[in-house]
Amino acid sequence: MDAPMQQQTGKGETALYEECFSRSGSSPLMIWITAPEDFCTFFNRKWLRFTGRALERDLGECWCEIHPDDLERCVRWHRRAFAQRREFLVEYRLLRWDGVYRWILDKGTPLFGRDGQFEGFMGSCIDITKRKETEEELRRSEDRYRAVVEDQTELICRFLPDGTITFVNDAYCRYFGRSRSDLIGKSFWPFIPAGEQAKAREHLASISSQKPVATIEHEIVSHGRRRWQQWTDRGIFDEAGRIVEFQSIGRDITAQKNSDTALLRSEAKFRAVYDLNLVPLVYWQMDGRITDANDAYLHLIGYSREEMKSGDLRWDLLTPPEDRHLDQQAIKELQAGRPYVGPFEKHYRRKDGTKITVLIGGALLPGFKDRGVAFAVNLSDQKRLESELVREKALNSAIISSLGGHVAVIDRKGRIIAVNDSWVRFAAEAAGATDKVDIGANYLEVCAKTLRCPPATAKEALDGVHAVLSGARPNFVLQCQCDSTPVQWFEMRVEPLLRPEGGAVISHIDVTNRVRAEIEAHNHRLELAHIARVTLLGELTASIAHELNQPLTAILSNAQAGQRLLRTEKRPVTKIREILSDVVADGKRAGEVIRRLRSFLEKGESKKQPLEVNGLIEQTLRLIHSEMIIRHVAVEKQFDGGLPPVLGDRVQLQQVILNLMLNAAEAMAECSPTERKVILSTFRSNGKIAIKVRDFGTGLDPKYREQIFEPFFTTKVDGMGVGLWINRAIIESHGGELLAENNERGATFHVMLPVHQGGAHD
Amino acid sequence: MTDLQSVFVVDDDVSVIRSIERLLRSAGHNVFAYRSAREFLRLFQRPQAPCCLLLDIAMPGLTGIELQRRLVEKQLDLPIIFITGHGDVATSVTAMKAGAVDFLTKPFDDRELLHAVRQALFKDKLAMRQRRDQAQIMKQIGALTSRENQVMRLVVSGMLNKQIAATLGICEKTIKVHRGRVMRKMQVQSVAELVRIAEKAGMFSIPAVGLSAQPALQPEL
Repeated sequence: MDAPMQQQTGKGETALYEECFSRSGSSPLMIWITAPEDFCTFFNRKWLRFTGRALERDLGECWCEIHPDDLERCVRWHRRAFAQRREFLVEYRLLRWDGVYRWILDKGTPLFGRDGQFEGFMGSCIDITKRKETEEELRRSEDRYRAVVEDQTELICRFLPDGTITFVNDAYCRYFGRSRSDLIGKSFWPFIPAGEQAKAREHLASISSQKPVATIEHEIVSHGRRRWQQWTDRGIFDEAGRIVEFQSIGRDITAQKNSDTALLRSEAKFRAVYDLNLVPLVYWQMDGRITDANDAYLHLIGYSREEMKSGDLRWDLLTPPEDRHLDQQAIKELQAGRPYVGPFEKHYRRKDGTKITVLIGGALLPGFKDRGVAFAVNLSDQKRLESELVREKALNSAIISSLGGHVAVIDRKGRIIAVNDSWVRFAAEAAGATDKVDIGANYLEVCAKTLRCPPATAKEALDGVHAVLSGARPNFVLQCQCDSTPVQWFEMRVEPLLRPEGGAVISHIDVTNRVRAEIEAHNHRLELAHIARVTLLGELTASIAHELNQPLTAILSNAQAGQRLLRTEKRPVTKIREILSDVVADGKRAGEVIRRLRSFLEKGESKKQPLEVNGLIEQTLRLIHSEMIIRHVAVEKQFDGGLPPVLGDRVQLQQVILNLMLNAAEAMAECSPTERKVILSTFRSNGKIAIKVRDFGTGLDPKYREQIFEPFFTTKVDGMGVGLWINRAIIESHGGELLAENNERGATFHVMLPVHQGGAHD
Repeated sequence: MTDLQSVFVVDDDVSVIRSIERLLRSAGHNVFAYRSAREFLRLFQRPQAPCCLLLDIAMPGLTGIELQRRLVEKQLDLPIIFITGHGDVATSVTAMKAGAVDFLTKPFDDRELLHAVRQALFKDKLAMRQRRDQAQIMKQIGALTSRENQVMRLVVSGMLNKQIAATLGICEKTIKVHRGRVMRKMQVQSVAELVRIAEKAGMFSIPAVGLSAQPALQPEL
């Protein structure tokens, strides 16, 4: 609408247009017309009134009244439409005569002549400011609504009576996991399971202008899972009172529903527990009555079911007066709305008058304000256990404290976790100020110091502790000599702590006195063994005489025969030589008897050496060979020739065999000489070497079976009663066993000795 | 002492046996040694010449005392000298009662031993002679008729012919004939001699054959 175009528009043409639109003077439309060359040739009166300009002024240049913000857009639209000669619709602000911009909706239509040639555009404009403002207002309120609605965690939607969704909030979208566009325009019914739909339809039908709001709980399917929702639906009505839309607010109540189900279930559980009678349970009323109780409860209070049913049994009276304030307190709390009270401790007086401690807890029955259930657990046993535990703890700690030995308890890693007084004193003494061997220290590190023993012993001790801690050994005992003057002996004892966390108890006990006593006892035993040997030989006097007499007799006879030969023979040399050689042999033989006796009577420390058992027995038999002959006892030998050696003291073992042989002979003194026989056998048995001495005498008197190995027990008139006692002591000091049993006839003594392990080296 | 006389030695101790054997041989005895009582019992045969047994008491198996008992049972009249390692009174009493000649304690002197051996051999010699005499007498007695035997018993019991006749119920004259035959058969000259022979024959302990009335005879003995 440039100025040059204006000059081509004739005055008559303008009048024509004016005439055409004269009827539309009251029309709300403002009209403009342009020539094909795109300059305005006409504005109607409405337009001119609106802009407050004269037609002449506006012709040609019509853009100046458009809001600068909208101008560019308008020109662009106009040009494009002009070029394409197509209709266009554009909104822009136009300056009114009073200086106020108004929103105009401008619809441009191309004009064509009768023969179809393009003649320009005609635009019809309408003031849409009012509408615009309303729209804006609506938009603003919609935004507010949206903001309010979207911020809700509650689900909000609007839907048409047929179920078509018209609006959902973000929460709704999130809940169902769909986008808004997915939901709007669709029906919500598929979300509701078939079983729930009738209920939901009925619910919606119940909403009317008289009752515009209603609430329903139903299940829905979301993410393939059934969930519970509660919806509050509000009907929106038209003037005729018909429902046009529903607005709904919903929330997920699955958790609550589940808890309701759980409540039902817990009630069933409660009954199960009730009937199980493990826990005393009672149904009570505020007024003091007991309406029901399980057997466990009745047992607890000592009343019968009949007594309970009679109604005389009251919980408030079961409680001793001094505890009733506890009940009252609990009732008060329940009345104040607490769902449950306790558990708290109080007392019950049973029917028999005894007072017991119970742990009690109660709750109101759902839906009741004056009745409930309660459990009561008898704490008396637990109380007793607690007090016992306390007593036991006190006892244990008193015992540990009172022990003369040094006691330390260590954990699995060797850390000292408890010690007794004696340990504290000892630790201070033993380790000095520099090394702490008290609680917290690691025993494994200070072990050697506390023992004050040579490194080899300390290592043994440490290995022992480790072995007990790891469970490789059931316990460990070590006796060690301390580097101290005077010499001290300690016994270290490690016992495992039988608890899941492991650990051990270590005690160090000064056993110096015991060791001294043992040494003394050992010496006494040696002394006594020697005396016993002397006594044994006393019994053998006759046979010793015989042993010596034989060679002496031979020597004497030989010598005198020699003398005679010298007198009578002319050439006696050969015979004399024979005689002398016999004399020498018999002299040696006598000497051997003496030597055997002397070695048997030897006194002193026991000397252990590898010994061949059969040889040892043969030597011993030589000592008593004559005795057996004199007593007319036959000796039968059944030796296993392939026995390994034993480690032992020759004299002591000989003493045992000799003693057993003499006992056997003694046992057969009353038998006919032809029946007197001792069977001496050697064999291997269970990895040990067994020597069996069997006689055919009177056997062991069952009365004395247990006593025969006791000291000073004897059935002999002139016996000392130490023989078997010493025998057993000797065999046990060899790590063996001495046992006795009766045969069908006579008795058998078994000597069991361990095989000498180092046999190969000796 | 002739070379034919033998000494048997039983001892379980070899060297003792050897020495005793040597000693006895040096004294000129014939010696047979045995290691055990059983061996001796099995092998022993009594020689015709006098002999004796030197026996150890304490031996394994059969003891000396036991052997002695067996020998008595077998009526092998053999003088025994016990030798023992220890002088056990009880044993020695038992041995002596059972007829041991001597009891020597080891060690013994050669004179002691040889004396005992000589004694034993002499005793055996006497016993042998006695056994021989007795056998002769028994043979003579065996030659008597039963009536002569009856008469002899009554004669040696000190009865007169008249008494004998009364006892046997035959006449005195007949008794005289029997008596004469007895004296001749028994080769004796006097009644005193007849009594001695009868005694040797052990006639007083042998019950009279076919004699009905004995009590009258006994008191006089």
